[in-house]
Amino acid sequence: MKRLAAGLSLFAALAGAAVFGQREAFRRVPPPAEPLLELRLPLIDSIVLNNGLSLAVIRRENAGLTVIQLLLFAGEAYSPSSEPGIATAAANVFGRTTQLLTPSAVEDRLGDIGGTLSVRVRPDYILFTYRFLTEFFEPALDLLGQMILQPSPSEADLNDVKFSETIDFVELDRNPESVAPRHLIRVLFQGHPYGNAAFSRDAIRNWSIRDVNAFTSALYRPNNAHMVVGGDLNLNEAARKISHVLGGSLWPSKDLPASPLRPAQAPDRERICLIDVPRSQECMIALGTVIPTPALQDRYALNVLSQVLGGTPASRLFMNLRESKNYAYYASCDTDFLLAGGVLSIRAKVKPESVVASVREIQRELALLAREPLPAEDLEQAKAYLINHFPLQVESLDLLTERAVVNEARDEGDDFWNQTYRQIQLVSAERVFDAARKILLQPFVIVVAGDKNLLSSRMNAFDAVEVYDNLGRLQYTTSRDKKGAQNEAR
Amino acid sequence: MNPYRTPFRRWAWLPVLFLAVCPEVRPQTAGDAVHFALKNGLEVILSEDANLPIVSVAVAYRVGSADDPPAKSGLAYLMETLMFSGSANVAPLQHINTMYRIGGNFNASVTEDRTVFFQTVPSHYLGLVLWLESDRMRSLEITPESFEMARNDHLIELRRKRLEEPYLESRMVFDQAVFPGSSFHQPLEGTEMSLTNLSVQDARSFYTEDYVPNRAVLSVAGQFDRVRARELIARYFETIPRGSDIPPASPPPTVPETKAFTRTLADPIATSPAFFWGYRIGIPTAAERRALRLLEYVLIRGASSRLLRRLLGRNNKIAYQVNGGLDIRGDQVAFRVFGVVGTASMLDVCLNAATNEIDRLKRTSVPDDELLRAKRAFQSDRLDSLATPTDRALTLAKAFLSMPDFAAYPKEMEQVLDLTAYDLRVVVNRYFGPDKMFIVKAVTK
Repeated sequence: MKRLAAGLSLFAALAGAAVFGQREAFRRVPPPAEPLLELRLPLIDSIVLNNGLSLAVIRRENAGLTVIQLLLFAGEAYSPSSEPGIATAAANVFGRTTQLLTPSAVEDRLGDIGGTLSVRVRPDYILFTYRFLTEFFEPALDLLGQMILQPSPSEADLNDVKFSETIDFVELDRNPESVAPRHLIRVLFQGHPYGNAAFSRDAIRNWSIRDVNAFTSALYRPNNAHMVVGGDLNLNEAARKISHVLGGSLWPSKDLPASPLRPAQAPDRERICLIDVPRSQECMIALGTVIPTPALQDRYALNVLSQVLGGTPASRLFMNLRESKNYAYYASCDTDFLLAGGVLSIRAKVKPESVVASVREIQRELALLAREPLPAEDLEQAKAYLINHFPLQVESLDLLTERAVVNEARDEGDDFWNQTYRQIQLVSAERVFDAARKILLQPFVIVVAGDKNLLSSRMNAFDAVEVYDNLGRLQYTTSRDKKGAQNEAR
Repeated sequence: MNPYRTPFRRWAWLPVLFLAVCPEVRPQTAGDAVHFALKNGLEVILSEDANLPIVSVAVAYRVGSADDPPAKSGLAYLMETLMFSGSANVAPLQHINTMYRIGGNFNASVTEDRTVFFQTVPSHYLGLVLWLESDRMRSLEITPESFEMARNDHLIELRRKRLEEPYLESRMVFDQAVFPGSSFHQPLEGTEMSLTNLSVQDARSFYTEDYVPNRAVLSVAGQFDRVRARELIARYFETIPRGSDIPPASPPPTVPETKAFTRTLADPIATSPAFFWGYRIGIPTAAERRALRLLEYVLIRGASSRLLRRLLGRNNKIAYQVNGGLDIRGDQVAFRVFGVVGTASMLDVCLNAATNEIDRLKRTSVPDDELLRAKRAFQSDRLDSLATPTDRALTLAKAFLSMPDFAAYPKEMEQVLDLTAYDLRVVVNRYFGPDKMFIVKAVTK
C-alpha cells in the first residue's frame, strides 16, 4: 500500500512537473522580437534669418521644458596658436555679466525662468545649451538676447573661470584616464589647430579679458552660428520671436576671419609616449591615428569597424584584453569626425604589468582588420547595434536638438535622420575592409599614462619612447641601440 | 557624493481574455501613468511616451545596504552584480550580451534602501527584456564560481578605492552621526572583513528573501501598446511565486539622542581639506518632507541658491567645491553638505558662513522672489526627471518605493508649489537646531 501511495505521489509529482513545465515552456527560450516600430523623428524646419543666423525648430508638443542650442564655429581650433584655450575661456565667460545685469542678476533671471545654461567646447565649435520652463519663453529669449548683444565680461568673471579650470585640471592631471587621451590629441595634431584642444593648465594664466573680448567679437556672429529650438512652437513663431530679439541689425553679421582649419594629415611615423602620472596605481593606453577628411560612406564604414573593434564590452578588444587575457579593466574604440579630419582612437585601462602585452594585442587586432574582411556575422551584428542604438542616442530633447544642430552646421543634408539608417544598412564588408586598409595601416601614436616608476622598465620593450610629465612637457627620450642597450637623451 | 551610483558592470500570445482572469488587483492611476498590482504582489507602473520607438524597463527591489545582515555589509551591493550571473534559462553574461546585441542601454544601482535594474531598448524588444528580468526574479542561479568572481572583483575595487579616494572615513563618521541607531549608515560596499565573511549561502538566502515580486516594482515607460505590455507582464511575471511578506512596519525607531559634535580627522590621501556638515532630521511628516525639499532648493540647488552663492560666489569664493542636499534613506532624512577648501583655516570660514545662512533662514522669511525661483527650479527638475523613457521609468519606480501613497505623486508638485515661506521657516526652526548639527573636518596629513 505504501509502495502504491509512493508510486502515485511520484506520478502526481511528475505529471505536475510536466504540466507546469509545459505551461512555462515560454521561459526556456527568449521571445522573438516583435515587429519593428517605425522611427519617426520630428521634422526639422529651418530658415536663415536676414543676419545670416541659421535657425531650425524641432517641435515637441506639450514640452514643459524648451531647449535652445546655439552652435558657433568658435571651438578650440579657432584659438590663436599663441593663446591656446582662449575659446574655452570665452565660452565659459559668456553670459555671466551683461551691460545691464550683474552676475548675481543673471543667475536670478535664470532662476526666474527655471533655467540653466551650459556650454561644451569642441575642437570645431562650441555649443551652448539653454533650457527653461516653456511658459517663460519670452523672458528666456530676452535674457539670451542680453547675453549675446550686451556682453560685458569682467576681469572677475575671467578670474573665476581661470580658477575653476585650474581646479579641474589639477584633478584631471592626476588621472591617467584623462591624461592619456589628451596627450594623444596633442601629438596627433601637433602643429595643427586641433592640437589646441589639448592645451595644458600652463596656458590658463595667459588668458586675458582683452583676448577673450577680441575672440568673441570676431567669432560670436550670426553668420557663424546655428541655432535649434526644441519645444512646443513652430518655425514661424520661433523665427518671429527670435528675429525680434536677435535678428537683423540687432545682432549684425560681420566678415569672419579666415578659417584656421586645414585638412589634418596622418602621422608620418609611429610614436610611443610615456606620460608620468606619479603615484598612479593604474595605467591608461590611448592609441590612435588621424582619419584624413573622410567621405560620408567611409565614416559609416569606420563606425562599423570601430563598433566591431571596441564599441561595447562584447566587442573584440574588450573580449580579448579583459575577458580572455585579463590584462585590462576595459578597452574600447571610438571615432570622432571633425570638419577637417577625424580620429580613430582606442582606450584601454590596463594593469601596469600588462602594458606592453596590451599594446601588442591591440596592434594585432588592428592588423587583423586590415588583413581580412569582416566575417558576415560580425558585420551584421555591428550594423544591427548601430541601427538599434540610434534612437537611444537622441532619447532626450537636448540630445535630439544637439544632433540636429551639429548636422545642420555640417550641412549634411535635410534628411539625415533617415540617412543615418540608410547609410548604415549600405555598409558592406568590402567597404569596411577598404576603410580599414586605408586607416589602420597608417602610423599610430601610442600614449601610455601611469607612474613612470612602475612603467619605464617595461616600456624598454619598445625601440624608442618619448617621456613626458603629466602637463605634457617632454622630459627625455629613450632609444635602443644596435646592441639592445637603452640610451637616454634629454 | 551622489549616493545613487551607476557603476559599470562586466559583464503570439495569450488572448485578451487572459487579462480578465489574471492580472490586476488594484487598478489606479498616477498622472498619465497606470498603476496596478499582480496577484503575487508585484507592483506595475506603465507610462506611455510615443516620441521615440524605445522603451525602458526598470525593476526596483525594496532592498539595499540597510538590509545587509549584521557583520555582512556589502551583501546587497554584491547581489547587484550577481543578478547578472545567470538564471534558470539565461546563461551567465547572456543578459549583458543580449543588451549589447540589440543596441540597448542598461545599468544597475544600489542605495541604502533599494536596488534598481534598468534597460532601455528599441520597443520591439520589450518582450525580451521582460523575459530576462522575470527569469532572474524567478530563478537566479548563484554558483560558488560566480559568487567568488563577484566577491573578488568587489574586493579589488574596495582596495583601489581605499588607496585612491579621499574622505571615505570622514564620510562614514558623518553618516553614523546623522543616521544613528539604524543600519542606514552601514558602508554600502562593505568592508574587506565583511566581504570575506560572506558565503554563497548568504547570497542565496538574501536573494530568496528579498528579490521577490511582492517586494518589487516594475516600471515600464516609452512607446508600447498598453494591452500588449499587460499581456507580456502577466505572461512573464504572474506565475513567479510570491515571497514572504515584508514584516509589518515597526514603530518608528527611537533615535538615540546623539549630541551634536565637531570632529577633525586626518586623511592620509587627501590633498585638500574638506568638510561634511549637516543636520540630523530624523523622520519628518510628509508635509514637512515637502517643505524640506523646497528648502533644499533655497539652500543648495542652482547657482542662485544661498550656500552656493555664499561659498562659491564669483567675488568671494571661499571653497573649491560644494555639493549636497537632502539625504533620504528609507523614512529617515538628513541634510548634508560636502565641501573642499584650499587650506585648513578656510574650513571654519566656510562652516561659519554656512551656519550663518541657516541662522538667517530661522530669523527671516525667504523673500517671495527667492521662494519663486526655488519653486521653478524644483518644477524644472521634476519635468526633467520625467523627460525621457529611461528617466521616467526610474523616477516612477523610485517614487513608488519612497512614497507611502503613489497616487499622491502627481499632486506632489502642486503641493510643493503651494508652500509658503512660513512653511520653510517652520521646518528650518524645527530641524536645523545646533543640537542636531554635525561637522566632520578632514585635514591633510
